[in-house]
Amino acid sequence: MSKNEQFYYKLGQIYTETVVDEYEDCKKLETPIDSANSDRWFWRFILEQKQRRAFKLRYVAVFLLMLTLTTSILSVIGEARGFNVIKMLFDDQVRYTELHFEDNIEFVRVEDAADIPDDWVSYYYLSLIPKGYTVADTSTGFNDKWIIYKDDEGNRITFMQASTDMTAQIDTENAVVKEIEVNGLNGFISLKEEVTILTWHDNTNSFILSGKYSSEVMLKLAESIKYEK
Amino acid sequence: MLIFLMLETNDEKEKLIELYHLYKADILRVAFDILSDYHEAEDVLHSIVIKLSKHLGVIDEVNSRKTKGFIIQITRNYCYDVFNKRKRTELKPDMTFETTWTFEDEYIFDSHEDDAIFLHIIDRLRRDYSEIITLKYYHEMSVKEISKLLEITEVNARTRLHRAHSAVKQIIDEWRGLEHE
Repeated sequence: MSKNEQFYYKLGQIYTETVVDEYEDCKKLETPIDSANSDRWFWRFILEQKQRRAFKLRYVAVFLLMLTLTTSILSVIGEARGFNVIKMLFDDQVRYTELHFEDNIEFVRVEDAADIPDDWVSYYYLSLIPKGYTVADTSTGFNDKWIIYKDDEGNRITFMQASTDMTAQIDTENAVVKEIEVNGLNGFISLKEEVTILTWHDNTNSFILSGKYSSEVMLKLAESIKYEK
Repeated sequence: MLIFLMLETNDEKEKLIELYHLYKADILRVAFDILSDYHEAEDVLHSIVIKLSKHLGVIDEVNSRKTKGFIIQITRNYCYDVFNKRKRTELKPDMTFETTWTFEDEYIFDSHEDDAIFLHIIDRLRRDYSEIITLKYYHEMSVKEISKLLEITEVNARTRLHRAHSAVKQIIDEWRGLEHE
């Protein structure tokens, strides 16, 4: 903050104090206050906001249905390509380095962008994943790329990257939503029914990461993304 | 571009409800004192609630003098607009002034200036100038946010801010001139 800005900040601060002081002095005149009508209006206003939100969320539900269908299809495709999955399992010992525990979860460092198709160029991958997870499948769309990590129990971590032209909507109904920063980039975190979804973006890419882990763990994974040319 | 449906979350709803309960009487009282009409004061309260619902990000702590001051200022400002509605004329953009004006350290203030100078400036400065400086620097709002809050164009907001800076400088120059005499 420059000296000028500091000066104007203090001016604003003292002005605000003055305004409150003036108001407190005038308040002694005791204007009669009856807010019953306004209270009724206010609760109607809150209800309308809720209804508008519910209306928007119907569209979100459609997106979630599509997302579920897509991941189910990818899962089936992954199983059909059995030899690939077996190859990935054999290579695990070489490509993953054990790190440390956090929230009783052991992380491993992915040494390179292994298990990603050779024809992929200019993409991001998670350089840190919970132990036991491997790349179960990958897919590309028009301007999006998906990497699905799974463990032996079938638990899944989904990492999606897309150009910022893509439109996506995240289900936030009954979810706890907070603003976060991922490596200095703005984003949101949504917690709902054990599933944590992180969304963030830079000037050219948007990212979505989802999995059944705490927000701390998911944020750690998100911050580990690496770019592969 | 990614579109997130993150607005109107429960946190925001709770914040708005808290703000309403804490400040509804203050808003009604300020509005009634200016407009002397209880129905109009109620309308003002509703308008201020809608305004607040769109600027919840500006408010960090609901129960604070900073927030109270902010709400009183926007209420007062809105009431004066209502009061002057018929005769109010829009501030015309100053054509000699570049609308792409940016803040420059062209006038370095002494950080050790006594608090008296601030009170002197507030006393001498037009209310709308004090308000726009407060919104810009104390509440850290962008010109775009200020223009929406005050229901004026961005050009008007920039012009008003520029004139506020000029007025502050003039008052300080006079003050320093007096000090030297």
